Amino acid sequence: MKIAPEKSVFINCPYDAAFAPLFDAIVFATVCCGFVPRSALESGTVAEPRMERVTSALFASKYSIHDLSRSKGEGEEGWARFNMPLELGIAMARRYMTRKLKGRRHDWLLLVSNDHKYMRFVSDLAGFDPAMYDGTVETLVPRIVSWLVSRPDAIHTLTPKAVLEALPAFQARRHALGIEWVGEVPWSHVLVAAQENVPEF
Amino acid sequence: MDAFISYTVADRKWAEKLNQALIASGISTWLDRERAFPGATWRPAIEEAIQAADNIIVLIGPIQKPSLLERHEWQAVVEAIWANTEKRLIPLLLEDAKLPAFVRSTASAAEPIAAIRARNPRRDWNRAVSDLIQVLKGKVGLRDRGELISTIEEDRSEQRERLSYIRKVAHSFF
Repeated sequence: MKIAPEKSVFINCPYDAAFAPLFDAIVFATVCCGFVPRSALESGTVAEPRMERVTSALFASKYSIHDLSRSKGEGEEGWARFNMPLELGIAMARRYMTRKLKGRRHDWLLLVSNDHKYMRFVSDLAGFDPAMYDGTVETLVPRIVSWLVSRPDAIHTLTPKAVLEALPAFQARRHALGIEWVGEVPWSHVLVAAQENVPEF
Repeated sequence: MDAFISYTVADRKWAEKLNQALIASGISTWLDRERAFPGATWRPAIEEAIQAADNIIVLIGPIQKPSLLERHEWQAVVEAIWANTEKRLIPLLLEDAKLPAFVRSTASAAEPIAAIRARNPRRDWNRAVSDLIQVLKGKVGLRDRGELISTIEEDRSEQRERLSYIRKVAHSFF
C-alpha cells in the first residue's frame, strides 16, 4: 500500500529503552492528530540496510519530527549520537529537493531539551528555531500536537490535555504487546494499538 | 496590547486595512510588516506579541497556503489559546473561507465556533470591521454578533476517516 505523503510523519528519535516512553508519546500524539507515524522500525528486521529503510520512509513523508535532545556527549568518552542529526540532514535534503513542488514541500519539527546548547552544536539551524521540552511527556505532547495541528493537512485535533489523558491506555497496551512479542513489537501492532486508543470527539 | 492580527500573505491587503481601521478606533494592534525578511529573531518576536495580546484576530481567506513562518505563527496562536483560556481568538473570514484545523482545535468539537465573516469583502468589509470593533470594545458579544459555525459532523467524519486510514496502513504491514 502506498501511504499518502501528506498524511505521513517520519519520526526520528532514539529507540532505546530509556527513550521508549517519549517515543511512544510521539507515536500516540501523531496518531491522535490523524497522521500516520513512519519510522525505520516499520519494515521490521528485513535485510534492507537501515539507511535505505530510513531514507525510504522519510522521503515518503511530507512531515518529520526530529528529537535531538540526546545528541550530546554521553558516557566516559563523551560521544554524541549522530543518527538523529544525520536523519535531520536527510529531511533537509528532502525539503530542498521538493522546493518546487507546491504544497508538497517537506516540513519538520525539531525538538531539543531545555538545556540543549543547539546553537553551539549546529549554528546553521539559526532561523529554524527548535521546540524545547523538559524531557517529560507532559511538555513533549503539547509541542507535537500544536505543531501538527498547524500544518496545512491537519484535521480538528484533540487538545494536548485530552491526548495526555488517553496516553496511559495506549502505554498499557504497548506494554502488554512488549511482553507478548518479547520486546520486538511489530510496527503494525503499535499503529493498531495507537489508533484503537484515540478518544472520539 | 488589544489585538494581534494573524494572516497569510495572500490576505495582506485586508490585514493592513483592518489594522488601520482598528488603530483609528483606538485599538492597539500588532501586525508585522517585515515578513519578507524572516530571521532568527523574528519568531520570538511573534511569540511575545501573541503572548502579550488580549485578543488574537485570525484573518482567513478562501485560499490557505501558509508559509513556514505563518505555520509557526498558527502554532504559537494555538499554544497561547490552550495555555490561557482568557485569551480570545476571533476568526475573521473572507468570502467562503473555512475555519482551518488549528482554529477548530481551540474549541471543543461539540461547541460551535463564533466568527465574523465578510462574505463579499468589497461590499461588506466595513460592516464586518465595525462588528469586530464592537466585539473588541466589549459592546457586544462575539457569539451574539458573529456567525456560529458548527463543525462537529465534519470533524468527527474526518477523524473517523483518518483513523480508518491508519488502520489500513497498519494492516498493510502485517
